[in-house]
Amino acid sequence: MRVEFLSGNEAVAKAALDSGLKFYAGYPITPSSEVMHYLARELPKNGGMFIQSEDELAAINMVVGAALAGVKSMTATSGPGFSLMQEGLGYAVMVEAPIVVVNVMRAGPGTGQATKAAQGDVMQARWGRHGDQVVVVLAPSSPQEAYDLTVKAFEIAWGLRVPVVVLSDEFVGHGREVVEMPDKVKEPEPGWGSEDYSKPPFGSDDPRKPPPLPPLGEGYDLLITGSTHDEWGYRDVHSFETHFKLVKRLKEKVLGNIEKVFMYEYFGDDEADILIVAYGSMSRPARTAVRRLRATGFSAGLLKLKTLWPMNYDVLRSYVKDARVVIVPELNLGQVVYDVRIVAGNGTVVVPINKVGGGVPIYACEIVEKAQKVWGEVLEEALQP
Amino acid sequence: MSKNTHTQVQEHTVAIAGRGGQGVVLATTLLARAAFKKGLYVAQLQSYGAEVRGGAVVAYVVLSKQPIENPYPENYDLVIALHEAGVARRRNEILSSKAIIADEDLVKPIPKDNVIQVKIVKSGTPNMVALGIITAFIPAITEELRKEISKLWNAEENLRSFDTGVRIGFELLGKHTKLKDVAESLTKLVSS
Repeated sequence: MRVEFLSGNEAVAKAALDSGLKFYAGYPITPSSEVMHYLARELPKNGGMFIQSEDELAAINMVVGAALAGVKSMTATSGPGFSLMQEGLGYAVMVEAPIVVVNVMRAGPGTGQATKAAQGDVMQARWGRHGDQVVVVLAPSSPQEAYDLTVKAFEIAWGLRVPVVVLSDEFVGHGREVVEMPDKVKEPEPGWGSEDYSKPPFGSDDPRKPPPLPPLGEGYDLLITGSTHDEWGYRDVHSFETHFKLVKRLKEKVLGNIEKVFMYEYFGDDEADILIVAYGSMSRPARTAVRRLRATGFSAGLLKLKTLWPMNYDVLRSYVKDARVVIVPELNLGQVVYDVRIVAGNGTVVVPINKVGGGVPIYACEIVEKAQKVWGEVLEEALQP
Repeated sequence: MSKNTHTQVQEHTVAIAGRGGQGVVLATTLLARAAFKKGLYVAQLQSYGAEVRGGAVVAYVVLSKQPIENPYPENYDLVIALHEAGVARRRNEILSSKAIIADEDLVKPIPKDNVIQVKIVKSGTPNMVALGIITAFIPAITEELRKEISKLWNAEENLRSFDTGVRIGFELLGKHTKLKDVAESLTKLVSS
């Protein structure tokens, strides 16, 4: 076990190295640049290649290329750069390139506030590409989780041949904390262990089992295209069957493995009256809020989402259904609150707490106050004749 | 499903508020690293602007014997204020803190009985003087901090300023009984 004092960005970089990262391309942008600084120094020492590309468009396409050649690859950026990377991410989905993209969120839109934390890119991380597609989105709440979830990101990306977005934020990325790391991380294997390259590289009988990726340039006949293709990679931009089969499989590949991909933690009372649903940095004041509420006699719990996409609505519903009040604190104007609204029944009051900009967090006391106020209103209404 | 108890979490926070260029972030990072080396759990966070110099900076360190639950405290145990800019940026958090030691030249007078205004910035390198003052509240980390400062360029001058800060800190502790509670809670973190 290694114990170090690290920023979230350094933890991401270390986790990538430990997962076997051999290629990084990126363009510096606050608040993600420390990932790059660290890898510029350490990656070449570990037998890898580091490139500062001309822009984010080049970075993501280089990273896709490296992944297709069988190399663990990653890039990191923030809002404006992440917007530029959407096209490349969509291409990666279509060609099933196992890449990891780190987005350290800052306040947007536009250039917004470069040095200030926000959680405004949740919907963009989920839906930023055109066409039907599913990527995996993980949200670390601390440098420790930045390490753990980046390791997980490589595992999922290589296991499912799907891009994984690590959705960090400025608080997590620039905050420094104690991080515990195992001495060795098992390098993720393509296709969760299957290396049978005689099978078609873009098709499988069971959509939940992605075909293994034969490394490009190693002698395999491999056709790769971002246009619609059949299971051997042959371009087919006319037929309904080929297209429908492909996009359906790309979706089912991820959704069919939701139990491997969807991660969460619960803290607090069983069947809590007051439930807080939070993720990333803001799950931490939320936990303090739950502890304070319980200490003053309330039945309260925190559902901390580590995976933001795909959402496991069954899990979310199982916690929301028992609650009378659900509070959703987010450093944006309300994004994950929509998921909660989807599963909440008529008897549940869903209350967002939104704050963004200026590097100001949502404080535990604000969550407690809101919870108590709404709980009071719910009781009052229940007592009305 | 975890059935955690309602155990009290003991987390203490030391903050420095100032202006870009004063070394506020560096100082809190050194403080956090020294405390980490003394076996504490630490979280160091900061808020600063896009500019290299100027602009408001507030940085702080949360210290605990247990893993940090919440690195976003609503106020702080001890604040060293080096410039009005930082104080203005986090006014509510700073003014509701337990003890505030503010520079008498660069921070506007704060008429509160838990605020002490002294010469900090003019006593040496501002961030090192601030670190010295903080160390008077947690003497057990002095040696680790000196080691960290020794690694910096211009270590000699920095250490001189640090020692000046330590002296100012102990003088203040001797004069102001209000600071004693804060020092006691911080000292307890490392001594026992």
